[in-house]
Amino acid sequence: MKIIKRLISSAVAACLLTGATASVADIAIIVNPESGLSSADVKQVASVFLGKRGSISGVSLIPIDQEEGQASRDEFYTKVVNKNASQLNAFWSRLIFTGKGMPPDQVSADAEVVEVVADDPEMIGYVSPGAVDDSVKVILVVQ
Amino acid sequence: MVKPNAKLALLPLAICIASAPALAVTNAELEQRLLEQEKKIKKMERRVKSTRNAVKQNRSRLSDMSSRLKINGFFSSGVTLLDSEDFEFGQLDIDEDYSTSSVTKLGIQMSFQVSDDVSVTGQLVSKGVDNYDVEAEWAYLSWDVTENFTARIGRQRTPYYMLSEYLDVGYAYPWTRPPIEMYNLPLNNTDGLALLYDFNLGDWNFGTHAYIGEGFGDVDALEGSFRLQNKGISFTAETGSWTFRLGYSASEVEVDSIVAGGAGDTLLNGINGNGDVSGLVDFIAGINVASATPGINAIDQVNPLPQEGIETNYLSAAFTYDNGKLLVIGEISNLEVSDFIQPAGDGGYLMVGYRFGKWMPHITYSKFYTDAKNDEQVQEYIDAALNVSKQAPALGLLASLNAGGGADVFTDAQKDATADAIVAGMTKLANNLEPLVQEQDSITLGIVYDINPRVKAKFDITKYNNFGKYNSYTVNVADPALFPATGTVIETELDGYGRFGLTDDADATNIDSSTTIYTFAIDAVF
Repeated sequence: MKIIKRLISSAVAACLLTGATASVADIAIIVNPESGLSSADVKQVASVFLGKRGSISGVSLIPIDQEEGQASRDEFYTKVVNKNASQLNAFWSRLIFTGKGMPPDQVSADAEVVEVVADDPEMIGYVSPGAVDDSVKVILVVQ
Repeated sequence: MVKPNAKLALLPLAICIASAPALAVTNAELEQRLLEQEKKIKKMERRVKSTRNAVKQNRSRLSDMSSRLKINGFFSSGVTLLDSEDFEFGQLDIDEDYSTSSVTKLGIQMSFQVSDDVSVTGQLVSKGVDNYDVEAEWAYLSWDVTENFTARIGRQRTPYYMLSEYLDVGYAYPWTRPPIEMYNLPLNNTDGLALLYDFNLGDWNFGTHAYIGEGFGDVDALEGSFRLQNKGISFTAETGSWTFRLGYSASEVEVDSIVAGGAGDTLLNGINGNGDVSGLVDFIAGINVASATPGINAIDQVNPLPQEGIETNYLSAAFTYDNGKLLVIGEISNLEVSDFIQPAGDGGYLMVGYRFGKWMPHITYSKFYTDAKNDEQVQEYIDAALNVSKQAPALGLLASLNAGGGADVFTDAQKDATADAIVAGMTKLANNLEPLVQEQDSITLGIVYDINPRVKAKFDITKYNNFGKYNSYTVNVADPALFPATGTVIETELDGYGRFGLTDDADATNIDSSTTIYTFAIDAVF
């Protein structure tokens, strides 16, 4: 497992080094290294962040979001969830004001996402690949 | 000459030379020093770590507080008017004058996480159409029994149709107001228990929502307040861009109080009568008792309007397709009201929109008509009222015989006045019932612009059409005192006005065949 993790991390790092422009737009989905989850697809990740499901492949997950205006957030919602900020707010307003769901908690930067995910085995977050370090495990990179 | 700068450049060398004696120190001493340094560094590291931990704890305590209490809100305002002197839409205060209050709404929702699985939520809404009175539209305690199963107790919006629960949240839907053909139910809250269960199956997400409880509310059109026993269930299924919804609700309604002389009171008294005034039911009974007399024709008795146990059923089916660019929403519904006279029938709409960046133009076709069951029921009362009017001379004679204990004691003028009053009352009843057979359709062209991720501007133009026709009745009785004279009914066909009302200035014999509502709105969520 550790080797795979390292391979992914180094692959990410390689991407960073080789294609600076392409990598700006990448987004890495990260979980705690102890998580039983090692991969996921875009649809599954989107479902978790929209509160439609609380687990992937039987592994319980709690999403941690980033605040509006963060570059990673725009990338993530456009590429993974296929909603822009307005559509996302309309989606959540239908749930919030009918008591059917609350958006995930937010932090204000990639580094904080890494910190939170590293702290809690159930957390799942998204960061720009450059922010990934050994304390978290990457399960998906979306370009 | 050595320049001053050159002196400085020589300084490191000088230091090197000066520290050269340090080389004489033994290795053991060096190691000792290194160890001490390392200890110092470790001590510093520990201090930094504990400071960092303290900061972290502090922050998590703060974020804990802020994540326990969540405050959200929504706001809409704008301006609306319609383009006809004849029409008004009373429920939303829309007429030919610019109105802002009919679009303005403010909602604040506070949700407090009491424990890991229990939260309390209150949503206070102030609306211009209700004179900005603040109303708790939601006030409930929610308990997450398991990850998939939630129970809620308290006040909640009744989930009759797809948009029913968030009708006030303009930001949540594309129009300035959802199609009035379908979304015009006046009684929207249920105080009671709701059970929500959701689960995933492959790529599908399913949700079930069942509820039971009690509702209260005013119906402006009937000028009365009502009490409801509500129950219902809805199912949603989502996969990818698709969402489907099926809903069923049932209410048992009773009249709580009614404004004397108001529309509902007039309707009830016109049909049921009361201690002082005879109604349709009483007149038919009188005629039927005397129907053995030549010249008096029996009339099929109608049911008095119940004031409790009125059953209403709501059925709806809806879908949404949203792939991020293309948005399609469709919904159909059926409302059935048993044994009471309320315009009930089938409604539905189909909306298509396409997003171009921050802009989304959209088009909607919407339709409503009262169904055959409603129309037949209304027609039965109309026919009965007209039959009574036609036999007014017989009722004049019956009143006289009643008063005289079998003797004909009324003068002709008295019989005449009695008969005239009955004709006037029953014709009015028939004419009041006619508009309860309704139909209309509309086409909306709208545009939504995202001002920022939390604020939208919207502009809708909706043209309402095809209101159908209805009859206006007059009953002529040549000589009311002259039994067995009967009256003749004169029907005048008039243009309908659907869900709208006619203004005081409107001439019912010559109204516009359509009307257009223009609405500009700003919607925000925060």
